[in-house]
Formats: sequence, structure tokens, C-alpha cells
Amino acid sequence: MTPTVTQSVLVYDRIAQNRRKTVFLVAIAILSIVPFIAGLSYLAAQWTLSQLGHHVISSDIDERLQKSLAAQPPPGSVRTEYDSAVEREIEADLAKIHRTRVENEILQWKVTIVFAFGLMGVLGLMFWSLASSPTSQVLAMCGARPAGPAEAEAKRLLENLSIGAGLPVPKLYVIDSPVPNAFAAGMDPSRSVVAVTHGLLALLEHRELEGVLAHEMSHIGNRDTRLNTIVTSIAIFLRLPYLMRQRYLQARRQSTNTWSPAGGRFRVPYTLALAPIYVYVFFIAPVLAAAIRAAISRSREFQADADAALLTRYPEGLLRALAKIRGCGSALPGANGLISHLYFSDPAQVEGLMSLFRGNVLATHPPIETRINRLMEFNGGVPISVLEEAARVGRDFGRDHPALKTPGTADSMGQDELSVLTTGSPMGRVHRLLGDATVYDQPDLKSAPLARLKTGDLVVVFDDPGKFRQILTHNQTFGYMVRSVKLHKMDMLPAEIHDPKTREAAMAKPLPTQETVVAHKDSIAGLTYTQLAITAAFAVVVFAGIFIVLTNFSGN
Amino acid sequence: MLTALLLLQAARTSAIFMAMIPVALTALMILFTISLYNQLVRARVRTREAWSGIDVQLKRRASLIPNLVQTVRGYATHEHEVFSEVAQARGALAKASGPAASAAADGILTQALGRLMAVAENYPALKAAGNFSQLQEELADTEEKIAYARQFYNQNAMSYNTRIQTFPANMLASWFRFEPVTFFTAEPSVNEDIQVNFAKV
Repeated sequence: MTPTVTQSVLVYDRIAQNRRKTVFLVAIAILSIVPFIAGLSYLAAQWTLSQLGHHVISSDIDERLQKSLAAQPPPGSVRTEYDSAVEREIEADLAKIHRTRVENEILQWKVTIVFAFGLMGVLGLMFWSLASSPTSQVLAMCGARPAGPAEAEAKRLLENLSIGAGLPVPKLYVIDSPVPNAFAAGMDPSRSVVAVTHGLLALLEHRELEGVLAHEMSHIGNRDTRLNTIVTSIAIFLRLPYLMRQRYLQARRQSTNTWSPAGGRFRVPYTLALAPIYVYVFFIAPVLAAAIRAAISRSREFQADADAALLTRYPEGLLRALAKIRGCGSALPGANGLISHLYFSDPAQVEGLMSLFRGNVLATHPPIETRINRLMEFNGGVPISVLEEAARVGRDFGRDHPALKTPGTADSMGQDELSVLTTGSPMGRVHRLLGDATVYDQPDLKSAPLARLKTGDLVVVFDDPGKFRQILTHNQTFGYMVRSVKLHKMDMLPAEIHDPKTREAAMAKPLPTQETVVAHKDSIAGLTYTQLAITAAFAVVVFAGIFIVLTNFSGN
Repeated sequence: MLTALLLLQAARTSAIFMAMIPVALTALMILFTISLYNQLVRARVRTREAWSGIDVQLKRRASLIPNLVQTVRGYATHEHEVFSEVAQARGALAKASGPAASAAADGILTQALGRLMAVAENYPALKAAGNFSQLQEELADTEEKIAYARQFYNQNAMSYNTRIQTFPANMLASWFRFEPVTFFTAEPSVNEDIQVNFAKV
């Protein structure tokens, strides 16, 4: 009884097939950018010229001139001096109009090119901001806490799996939610993390948990998180006009005040010729982007399943885990769509009509049945009754532990993909004080002082503009602190400062001396000053380009 | 006249061009060989690193054994045979070098430990002792770690062996004496008792 050889061949075939598919999809994603950038910059150029160009010609003016030229007496007939003067003038006008037309066209192409480069820069910035957003932000978004002694079993499993995969051991985090799910995050293996929900630990047995963790390890080993960051930034980029339009429409629906700086004048002169570009930019590209991103994510899920089977050499564990999660459901309320591809099973809630669509084209995860079927190819030895039993256990668990909103997650983060880019860290960031400070009840020096903090204390600082910082101390005192106190950024999760052990470990480290401390940089809208400065410089260059083009070619 | 000059010029450039081709080809060949050699070295280093991963876990297991034997001896004083067997197996594993020898010694140690555990089954007081169950747990964990390290090593060994036996790397491998590495496989006798035949069920 040695079926191992044929089994492994199948796994390897599947892995090679998945790799080809991913390469193909990434190529399509990149190709779909080209018409998008071309179309959008063409539209933008049209709009700029219609708003700012000096030589806006109404479309029927030369027709009218032609008509009046035809209305002139024919060359053979008797003509007055006046007639020929009018004719000359009309001909001169026509020639001038023609010249302006040509000029306008050239100008438009130049503006289009400038816009195209600008858009490519925006794509780069988007990738940058997604790639540089710290893993701790993702964790904080999901309300994760570092694993404690209660999760020793999962920790040990992760350690063993990383020996098998030849990777550094990722940090384990726990999300206190009864819904069984898990995810991996981090741009490179040495800094990656694995988060599991409390429900997953409670529902799954040892071997099943091993299967799920092996799946997450495979995501880390295959560098899926990095691939997905690239694909996601392309997807957001392609969806940007659509998302902004959605937000604009939503804002207009909600407010009684109909005036908006973006509305009214923000209309590209609409002609039939531009319709395909409109349709592509606002309807086809967003759907295409979402579909491609989902397809890549799906193929990576199959890949991770196959790799997990190869890593544990025990596909039955993963199969049973999938069956249990199938029975229980894995919809995590409050999970943002932008990071849904990182999860073990789809965290999105799908209901009603959308499920017809989302189940196939736009889902980031393949249906669990398909995943089970594919895994069964590697290991036909699992009887169906085992899986049915597992699904029943999952159903019972789901009934006993209904999915509630995870405490501590930011509600707004679940809204749409844009919010990840525009919101700073809603959970705050951990800093150490480099001076004594007093915590006030209100952002006012005259208000009641709540606590005194010493140099070296740990506080959570929130992104909040104003003369005072909103802070949370380790003993849960919430208040305000003057901005003049210098801070030193720590690589910790906000939840970690409430844990005495990690707090003491962090406070035992020597404080940086005043010389080594660079003044604390605040961020606006989640971007650091460097990022803002480069963006601003970039914008200046783009607008200078447009300005130069406009002034050079519209003067005569 | 002019055409003749032009032709001459063309002939001269093409002659230079023709002379360049072998030079370029040789340079490409050299670059290719260097990169291939480096890849082979990298693969070999990786197998060694993977082997050291197994070694660490084997040592860890060996260091657990004296404690375990001490604990069992506290309750089961008369089982000298098993104790000496375990001690011998442990000594043999410490002396063994290379994947094949280590794998064999590891198999013998596993069998000896199995017998020790079977002996421990007969002493309920020993099973109830917190120290013993903790040691048992740690031992099981280390065994799992050895299994994973073994898998990682065998994977690397397989890819390295495949590399040095396939064209064109096999030529380079024979020149620079890249030897195939042996797999770390458990003794067949150890494996037999856990094989289950589903066909008869």
C-alpha cells in the first residue's frame, strides 16, 4: 500500500498549474491598467481644456461659416467689393479655426501624457501606502491581541510548522471572536504574523488546527501577502473613480445641502465619443479589477491548501477543519474587504441576490466544497461520513456561538476599501514618554488633572489634530496631554501595554537620549510627513507640467 | 567605386561582428556556468542547514531523556534492562554522524523509548505525577519537531539531488564533486507497526 507517489505528483501538478494561473492573472491585471490610464487621462485632459483652454470653439461655428460662404454669390457672377472682402474674411476665419483645432489637439495629447504620468505616480503611492502600513495596524483593525499561555498549543504547532517550512516562526495573535477564522499578514516572512480567532481554537482539534495553521504558513512561504498587496493596490487604483463616485453619491443622498465643490462644474463635456471611456472607467474597470483580484486570491487559496497538505502530510486534518468551518460559517462582522484575501475562509457576509454573483466571480475565496473536493484528490481515503460528522459539529458550534461584533474593532473600517487609505490608526499607537506629563480631563490646561506620568511611561497616542494629544495610559486613564512632551515610538500593539509582563519588558529597555530622538512626526490622514512632502512635490511637478503646456501652446 | 567602398566597409564591419559572436558566446557561457555553480553551492548549503535543524532537535530530545529516566526510576526501580537499553541507544545516537547513521540510531532510540513508556504504563502513580506528564508532552512535541525537520531536510535533499543529476548541472557537479546527499529516513521496522491496511477494512 504505497499510494504516496501518485498523491504527491498530483499535489505538485496542482501547484505548478496554480502558479501558471497566477502569472496569467497578474499579467491581465497589469494590462487592464493601460486602457484605464489612457482613458482617464484623456477624459481629464478633455475636462481641463474645456475649463481652462482659451480656444474653446463651439462645434457648429465652422458649419455656420461654411454655410455663409456658400450663401455668397458664386465666383462667376457679379460681385461687389464688399462680397469679396466678406469672403476673404470668412476664409481667414476658417483657416484660423482649423489652426486652433490642430493646436488644441496637440495640446490635448500633451496634457493627456502629463496626466498619464501623474496617474502612474498615484498608483505607485497607493502601493507604497499599502505596503508601508504596519502589520500592527491590520492587527489593531481586527482587534487582535498577542497570544498568551492559554494558546500554548497553537503556538507550539506554529513553531513545528515553521521548522517544516523552513521559515522564521511568525508571531501568534488571537482575535476574541467566536467565528472560526484565521489570517496571515506581513510583507516578508521574518516579520509576519498569524492571527486566529478564539472560535477557531475552541472548535478545532489538534490535527485540524495544524492544517489551518499550515495553510497560513503556506501563504507566508509563498509570499502571498506581498503579491496580494500589489494586486490590491492595482485593484484600488482601478476602482478609485468608482469608489469616489459612490462616496459622492452617498454624501449627496445623505445631506439636504445639494451644493458640493465636486459637483456641478465637475463634469466632463459629455459626447457620444467619450461614452466608451466612461463605461470603462466607471463600470468595466472597477468590476474587472475586483474580479481579477478575487481570481488571484482564489487561486492562491487553492495553492495554500495544496501546500498545507504537503507540509503536514495529513490532508485529512485540513479537510475536517474545512468541513467544520463550512458547517459553522466564517463570516466575521467588521472585517474589511481590503484584507479579506488574507483570511483562511471568506470573512465577508454574503446574503440574498449578491451571493449568486459573489460566490463565483467576486469572491476572494473559492467555495469550501470546491476546496474540499480538490483536497480529496490528494487523499481519497477520507470517508464522507467523517466530513459529515465534522460539518455537524461545526453547525452545532455555530448555533451555540452566534457571531457577534468583535469588541474593540473599529466599525468604520468595515465600510469600504477607501477607508483603509484615509483613516489613520483608529486604535492609536504606543509611545514612551521622554519627559514628565500630566493627563488632563479636557483639552484644556485649566481642567482637572487626572494623572501624572513619569519619563519612560508607556501611553497609547491617538491620531487627533489640535493642541493636545488624546492618550490612554496603561491603567486605562483616558485624557489629554500637551503636545510639547517628546515621545518615542514603540513597536507594540495598544492592547499590549495593559499586559503587565510585556509592559515591564518594554519599560526595562533604556530610553533613547535626547540627541538620538528626532522630533515626533505626526501624520495627517494616515500619511507621514515624508509621504505628504513627496506627494506634494509630485503634485507640484504635475501641475507645473500642465501649466507649462497650457501657457506654451495657447498663447498665439 | 563608391559601391565597392561601401561593400568593403560592410565586409569589414561584418567581419568584426563575426569575430565578436564567439567572444560574446564565451562570455555568456562563463556567466551561465558561474551562476549555475553558485546555485549548486546554495542548494548544498541549504541541505546542510536543514540537516543542522534535525541535529538540534535530536540533541534536544537526547537532553530530555536523562530527566525522563530519572523520573521513571523513582517509581519503577527494578526495570534495569529498559534503562540500560535507553542509555545505550542515546549514546549510539550521540556518536552517530551523517543522516543515514543518525536516522538508524534515532529509530533504535524511539523503539527503546516506546518500551520505557510501556513500562511506565504499569505504574499508575508515575502516570499521575505532574513532572512525568510534562516530560512526556515535551518529548512528544520534540518528536513532532523532528518529523517536521526531517521533512524539510528531505525536501531540500531531494531538490539538491535532482539538481545535480539533471543536465546541465550534472556536468558541473561531477567536475566540482557535488555528491548527492542521503535522505533522513526512519528505519522500516519502526514504520511497519503504524501502517494500516484500509483495503481489508
